[in-house]
Formats: sequence, C-alpha cells, structure tokens
Amino acid sequence: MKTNYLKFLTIILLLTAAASAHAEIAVIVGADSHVPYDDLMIEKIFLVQSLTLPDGSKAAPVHQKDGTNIHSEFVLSLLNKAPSYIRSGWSKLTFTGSLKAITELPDDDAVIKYVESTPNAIGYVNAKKVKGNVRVVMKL
Amino acid sequence: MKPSVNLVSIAALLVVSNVNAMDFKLSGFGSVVAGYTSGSCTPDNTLSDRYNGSCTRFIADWAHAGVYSSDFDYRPESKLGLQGMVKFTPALSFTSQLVARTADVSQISLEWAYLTFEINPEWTVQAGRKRLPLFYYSDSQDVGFSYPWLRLPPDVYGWDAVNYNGASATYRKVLGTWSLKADAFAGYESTKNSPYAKLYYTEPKTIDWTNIVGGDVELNKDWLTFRLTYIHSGYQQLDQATGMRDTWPSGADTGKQTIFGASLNVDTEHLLMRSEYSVFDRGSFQYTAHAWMVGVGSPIGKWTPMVTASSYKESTNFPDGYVPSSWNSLAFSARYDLTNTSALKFQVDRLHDGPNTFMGDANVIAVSYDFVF
Repeated sequence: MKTNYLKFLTIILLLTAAASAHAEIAVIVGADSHVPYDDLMIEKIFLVQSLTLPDGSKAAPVHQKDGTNIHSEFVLSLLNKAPSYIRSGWSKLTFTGSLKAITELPDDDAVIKYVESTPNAIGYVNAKKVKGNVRVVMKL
Repeated sequence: MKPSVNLVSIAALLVVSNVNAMDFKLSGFGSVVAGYTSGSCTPDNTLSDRYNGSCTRFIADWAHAGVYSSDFDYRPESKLGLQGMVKFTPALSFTSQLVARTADVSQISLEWAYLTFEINPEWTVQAGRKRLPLFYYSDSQDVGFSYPWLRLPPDVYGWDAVNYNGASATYRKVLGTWSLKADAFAGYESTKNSPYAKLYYTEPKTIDWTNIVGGDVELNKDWLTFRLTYIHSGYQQLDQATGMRDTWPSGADTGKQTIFGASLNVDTEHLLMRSEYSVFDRGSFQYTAHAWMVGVGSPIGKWTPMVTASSYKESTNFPDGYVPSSWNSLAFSARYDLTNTSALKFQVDRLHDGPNTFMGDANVIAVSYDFVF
C-alpha cells in the first residue's frame, strides 16, 4: 500500500513539474535597446552581480513580485537558486548600501510598461503576453 | 576631544529626513530571538563575574555581550533596525542605520552613517561610519533575515569591533564568467564601555582599533562565491576610569593586529554551503586565533535545514601571562520562510569548551522571528 501511495505521489510531482516547465518565460528589453545581451550577462544582472551593461551604462533590472509563480520559476530556472536565497540576498544588499532598491512589479503588463519606458530596463514576462515596444532577448 | 561622530551623524540624519526630500527611503529590519542554555554545570569559568550566576552560559553575540544563561531570555539577540537613505542626486546619497538592542544594557546605536558617491558604475566611494567587512556576512550581521541560521556562527563572528569611521572605495567589474567586487578602506574605531570587554572584565574598558587599513575581494561565478579579506590595525585597550592603557602579556601597552579571512559559498537550487576561515594575529602582544566554520543545508520549499560545524582556537607566545582558549561547536538550524519578508528559525547549538575552560560547555536552544520592511 505504502509503495503505491509513493508511486502516486511521484507521478503527481512529475506531472506538476512538467506542467510548470511548459509556461515559457521571455526576458525582454526596450525595442530601441541595441545592447547584445547574452544568457550569462542576463543572469548576472538579475543576481545583482553586475550593475552595468556591456556598454558601461547602468542596468535597470525589474523583477515580478516575489511570491508569484513567474518569479519563482524565473529564479529557479534561469538563476538556478532557491527563492529564499534571492530574498535573503536582497536584504543583505539593501541594508548594506550596495543596492539602492529592487524594482518589483505586480504583473506582466506593468513589467512591459516599465521596460518600454525605462532606459536600460530588463524584465521578464510570460512569453505569450509579450506585446508592445519590447524586444525578446532570451526565452526559457 | 574628538567630535562625537554619533551626535553629528544623528543630527545629519534628522536634518536630511526633514528636507522635504528629494528622494527619501525608510526601511528596516528586526529579530525577536529567545533561548536558553543547559548542560553540565561549570560555575568555575574565566568569564567576568557577572556571568557566574548561571550553571551554563553561551556567548551568542560577542560584540554586544549577548549572553544566554539557563533562564529563558529574549534579550541577548533581539534587535530592531531602521535605515534611512536620501538621494541628493543620482550619484550622491546618504545612508544611515540605527539599531536598538536589548542585549547587555539596552541601547540604540548608530551602525551606519555614510555618504555614497558613484563616480561611475564601476567605482563607488563612501565616507562616514561603516561596517568593518571582516567576514562574508559582516555587512548584514544585524539583519537576521539575510542569513540562513538563527545567528551567525559566533566562533567566527565574535570580535570586539563591528564598525569603523573612515572611507572606502569599491570597484566592480565583470571578468569573463566571473563578477568581481573589490574594496579598499581606511579608518579607526573606538568602542567606549566595550560590551565585548565586559565579557572579560568587571571594570569598563575602551577598545581602540587605530589606523585601520584593509581590503576585500569577492568573486562570483554561477553557484560559487569566493571572498578574501585582509585588515591591519593598531590595537589598544584603556581602563575607562583612569584613561590608562592596559598592559598586554608581552609587556607592551599597544599592539598591531593582522586579520585574514577567506570564505567559500555555494548556492544552487538544492544545496547551500557556507564556509569561512579567519586568522586574528595579535601574536606579538597577546595571542593568535584561528577560527573556521562550515555549514551545509538544503532549501526544501520554504524550509532550509542546515548543519554547521565551527571551531575557535587560540595560541600564544606568552604562556606565563595568557591562557589560550579553544572550543568547537555544532549547530542544527532550520529556517522557515513565513512570508516574503519574514522568517521563523529554530536552532540547537552544542558547544564544547576546552581543554582550558573559558565559558564552559553549553547546549543552546533558540527560536527567532526575523523580518524586514
């Protein structure tokens, strides 16, 4: 009986994982940005390990609100970190003067609006929701 | 008489926060921590007499004399911090942080008060009152929410100076797949009525770190973080009542110390590893202390259970005048992310002291609620 229960649990877990892996995320920048982004640079910008773009200008990363599915998925799949690492890491940076603030927005539309209107902004949204004056630099 | 840095900075903070501000941001953090010790009774220890009332004791926070006894107590580690930051221009800002503690004598202290000037995205200079970057978590040591344990391992983090007054320059650069952050700094720190000294002495002491110079380098790559620190300074301890310098076991009344630290951390989706090694070389006048810590944990959903081993060991060139201490500890901790801005933590520590008894063995049980806002 116990083995069956475990098997059932495993199948459910695998299905859940497979289902969530299908929600594709697009990393977006302003359409007029000509910076050649690569995966590593995107990762470093979101981890606040790099504050700049390759052309020397200051990066303006924007996250989706912590606790949303897309935030957790982004953190896990691109950054390969547990969300708790990101949370505690941010507090380490914000209370030590290394980081002025983390920009967090509530949903895809708000992120798109921010990326459209902010120089050097980089954000992530559900790939199906991409619209407006933005350019997709990475899909995951 | 030296101008009072604290008063000047508090005044600056007030003035700044009253300016109908360009860009003012207030944030904060806090920890409510409670715990107690148990274990075999060691009334005969070499700590200051004020800690002899209890059968067992545990120094959770050396710099602020946060000491647990066999009575359940919330005072040794609970704290509340407020941070104000004002931006004058995009490149120039002022940051200040006040922390209220219940350890030792209840007190509010000015931990940070500095001006930041961003010369360009690679170079930043800061001047004022800042944290001494002795260890990986030194910068955020008051922010419990920023680390996986209930407390930073005291075997490594337990020293007599936390902040300094001076200036620093920071350089950031991406080098291939690595990110580099390097700091150079210089300044001084004088701790009057040192809580750390109260652990050892009945009478109040002032501890000075003079002519501090140092640097640290942090390298990040994917799941790996590597950090090195080097600090050099003068060191002296004064009797507060007389103003006279205390004499060290070497016979001198001042000394020079050299501090070296290394840290290696790993963060993946399923693995968390924290390690630090440090050498405090006060060997020319007192002792040399080697300390290390290795912690391994795993983020499982909202939980981060962790096992951490640590050790502190002194050696001395003056066996007639100084009894070197050593002990080792094992900690089992669990962090539970309650919300995105708060966490509950549970921790059990087992400290084995000896062969020369300093504080005695202790088992410690503690719980905490950490938050940021």
